[in-house]
Amino acid sequence: MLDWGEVRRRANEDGEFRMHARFWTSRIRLDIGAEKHKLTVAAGEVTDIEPWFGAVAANLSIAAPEDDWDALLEAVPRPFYQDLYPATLHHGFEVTGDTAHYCAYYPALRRLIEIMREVNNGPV
Amino acid sequence: MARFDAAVGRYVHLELGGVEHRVYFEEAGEGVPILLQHTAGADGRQWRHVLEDEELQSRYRLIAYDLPYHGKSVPPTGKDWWSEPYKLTKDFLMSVPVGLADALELPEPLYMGSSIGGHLAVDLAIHHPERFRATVGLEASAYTPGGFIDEFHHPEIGNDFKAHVMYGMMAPTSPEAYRRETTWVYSQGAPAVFKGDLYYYSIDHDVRNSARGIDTDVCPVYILNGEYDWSGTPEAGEELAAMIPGARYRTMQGLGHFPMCEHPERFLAEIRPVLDELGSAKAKAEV
Repeated sequence: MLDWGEVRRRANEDGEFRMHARFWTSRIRLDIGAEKHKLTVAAGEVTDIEPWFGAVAANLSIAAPEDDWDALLEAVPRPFYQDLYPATLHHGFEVTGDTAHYCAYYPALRRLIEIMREVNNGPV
Repeated sequence: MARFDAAVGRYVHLELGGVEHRVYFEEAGEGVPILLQHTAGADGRQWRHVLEDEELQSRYRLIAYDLPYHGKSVPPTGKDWWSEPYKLTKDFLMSVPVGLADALELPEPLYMGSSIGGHLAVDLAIHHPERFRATVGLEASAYTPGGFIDEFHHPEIGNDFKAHVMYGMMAPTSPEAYRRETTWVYSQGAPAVFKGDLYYYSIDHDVRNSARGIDTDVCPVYILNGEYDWSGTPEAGEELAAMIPGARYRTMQGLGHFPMCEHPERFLAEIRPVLDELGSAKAKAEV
């Protein structure tokens, strides 16, 4: 179980994430196996990461079985878990939503996943 | 005392596809010439570490060029290139190393390239086997559909997208500074160029029915793919090599899609013995 408060704190203090997330407002659904989370970004800041409730629409959804998330968040990922893009091509990840939105903010998402990886593997 | 790199650059004018192009290249070293082809949407800076390797400089003339529309090879002045989509075709791509070898009077150069350059190693062995001593394909495959997508040149998506997708093609263990430099080079490509290059990578390059016709006695072929390359996967490289009678294959552990620039030390350790094997082969004229 990730410390989501720590993910949010580190993301908002991370220079690279903030640069790539500029002007970004989005609601992202993260499905980690049966666990569902809502990650809200407003004007480039992660404002909430909380359990997903109800039927509201997400701008983007990133879903995978728990084992795939574990592999993605390993300190040194195995081949094709090193990034979300190959993890959707070669492993069990699925991204749905607006493609242009996903691509425009891919650098921010990529950095966010690195921050999740750092939190998952202890202090850096 | 100033410290200089060994590589020096200059321009050569080549007639390619009936149009004059001013093509930039850098070179270092003396000996058997090696033409070095960069990946899609990038330029010859990817080879800067290889050009500075003193061991290779002592035996090879290392020549890294920028394809037209890439790096310092600006688009031609004799064509209204701005009025049509940029698209790299197999015939045009092949004409660059062949034209460069002719212009520089390189008798039988080695050829080495990565990604589109890896694919090109195979196309050159099919179509111009007499012109090259041998070809080395890095991150090569017989066929790689799916890359020629609109998201790589879209008004709502910045150049950062392709650059960061490329970041994820490298091994997580490659040095961070070199991964970032590789990403930086990608972010500098003209907006249309990466997608246009992928026309060759994903559509115009398909050797599934022709690779078996390569005569490796005339033009030896070596394929090396990186463990972490999710596009030119090790599996795809091995399959390609198996299609070419006499071709050699090796997986480069701990490397991704940009071996020469994401982890130069590791790549040089892999490639020196390969080049020495191919470079020491007798020139065709001597056989």
